[in-house]
Amino acid sequence: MIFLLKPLFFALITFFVLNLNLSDVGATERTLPDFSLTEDSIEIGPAFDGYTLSVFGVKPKEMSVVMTVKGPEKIVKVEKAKQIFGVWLGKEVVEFRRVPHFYKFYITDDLQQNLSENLKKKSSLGLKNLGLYAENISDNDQIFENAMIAKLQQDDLYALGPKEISLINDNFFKADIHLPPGISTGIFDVNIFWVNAGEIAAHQKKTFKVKQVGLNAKIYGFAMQNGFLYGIIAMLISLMAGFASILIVKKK
Amino acid sequence: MNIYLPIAEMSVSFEAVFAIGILVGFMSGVFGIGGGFLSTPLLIFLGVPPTVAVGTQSSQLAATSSSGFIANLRRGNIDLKIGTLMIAGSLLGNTLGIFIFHLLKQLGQIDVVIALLYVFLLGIIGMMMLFECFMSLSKQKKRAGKQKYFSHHPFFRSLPYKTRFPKSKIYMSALMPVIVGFLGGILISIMGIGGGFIMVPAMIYFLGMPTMLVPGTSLFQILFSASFSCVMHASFNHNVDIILGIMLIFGGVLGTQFGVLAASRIKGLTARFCLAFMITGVSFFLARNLILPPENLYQVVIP
Repeated sequence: MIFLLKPLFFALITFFVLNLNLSDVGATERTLPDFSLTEDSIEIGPAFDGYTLSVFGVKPKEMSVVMTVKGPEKIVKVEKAKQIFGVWLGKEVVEFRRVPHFYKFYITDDLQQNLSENLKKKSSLGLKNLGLYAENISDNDQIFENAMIAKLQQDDLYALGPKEISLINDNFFKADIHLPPGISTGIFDVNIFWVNAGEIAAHQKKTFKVKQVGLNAKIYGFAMQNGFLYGIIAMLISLMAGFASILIVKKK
Repeated sequence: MNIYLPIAEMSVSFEAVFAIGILVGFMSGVFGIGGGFLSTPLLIFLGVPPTVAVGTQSSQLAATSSSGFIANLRRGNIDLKIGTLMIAGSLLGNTLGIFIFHLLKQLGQIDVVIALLYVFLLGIIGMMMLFECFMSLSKQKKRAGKQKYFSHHPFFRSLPYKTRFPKSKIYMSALMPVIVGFLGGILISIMGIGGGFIMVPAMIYFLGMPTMLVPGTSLFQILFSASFSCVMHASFNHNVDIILGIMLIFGGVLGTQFGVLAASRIKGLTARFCLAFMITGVSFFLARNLILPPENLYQVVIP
């Protein structure tokens, strides 16, 4: 279904863009800030290996665009190894709550140079403005936070820096959101801010869902609701696989 | 090729998991050990959450041990009588071990105990095996079959329920295999592994079983404890990923068959040498990790 929707959406947008180019005069007044996602539900099956969805939006000619994408929140623990009697056995644990498991941010090219701190804060743009906090605060909290962010960046779950929102023309923009294979399931928020002269002129939020489907979803549901039976079945499958291998080898 | 795991909720490389399966299966076939002490860290290294790695491990152990058990049964390499007594002991030990595990967890010392147990147990067992191998190498021709076993100690000889174990050609108290199984069972619950690397040397040196019969008998016992813990993990911790398990099993059953074939061509002493080297090596590696500062001071854990 989704695969059919994407080209259809492209065709629609292209038609729209061409039409607008023909009657470019007075476009600014008629272009109200808005955007759409190519998908509102990403399905994870056994062969899932990451996915890229796109955002298409319209903007008045003079405005710039800022976008953030946040994934489901999780509790993340950062452990620092500690020496006890000369042996590396101990650890100091700092627990971060409500950490978005996925965070990437996007800006139009004209904002690369003049992005004010005020604007960043208001649109919670950039890793510093994510509002990450730990339960048990120690003096070196920043180091723990940095270690956590570095790990998430390594897994391509967090952006290293702002990604580009490309302009199709003066009024249309497009951005690609890449979801890596290690993505977790849940609701993702896409926030877009339209910026005029350094101030936020408009804001819209849309969401998409990442979920397991088919066999994966069935296995997950069964394992969580019926653990004992699932365990018995898992055990029987394992034992049967072991016995079956003997038969195969015997025949050869 | 990447495959998405429904319980671990992440995608892993099929080839990498398959390779781990083959390695572990091979070791299980040759030495009669589960190989959990190797595969759990390897899975965690691939990014599988530790809890899922430990839970899924048990389903793979059930498969490889059942495959190895039958392969050994066909060759007549199992002492079912000793094995059954060990299983009885290990179930008792498992229960006590789970109790100790919870006690240590409440005291907040479980990680320390696990790390030290690994280093000391692996170290002591590995060194003892190496020592024995060298000794028997030098004495092999002169005094074959005149080894001293712990079971010959007057205390163990005085234990009741003396039984003949015709398969292993041993005459000892029926309590001895139960004791070995019991102690192994405690360690299995605390350390979260199959325990083959502890049981195998114990069977050779403590019970004095012929090396030929040890892998099969050990696998017979692991088959039960792994199946038991697979169901327990799935019921209480929801951490058995059957897709990951099946991938490991694919590699595992293949590796086991290679291992059993290899084992029939390797002399008992050589196999013991290899296992002794490996156990000592892992123990040194773990000890080194305790002494040297870790490469990454900070570890990020996302449950």
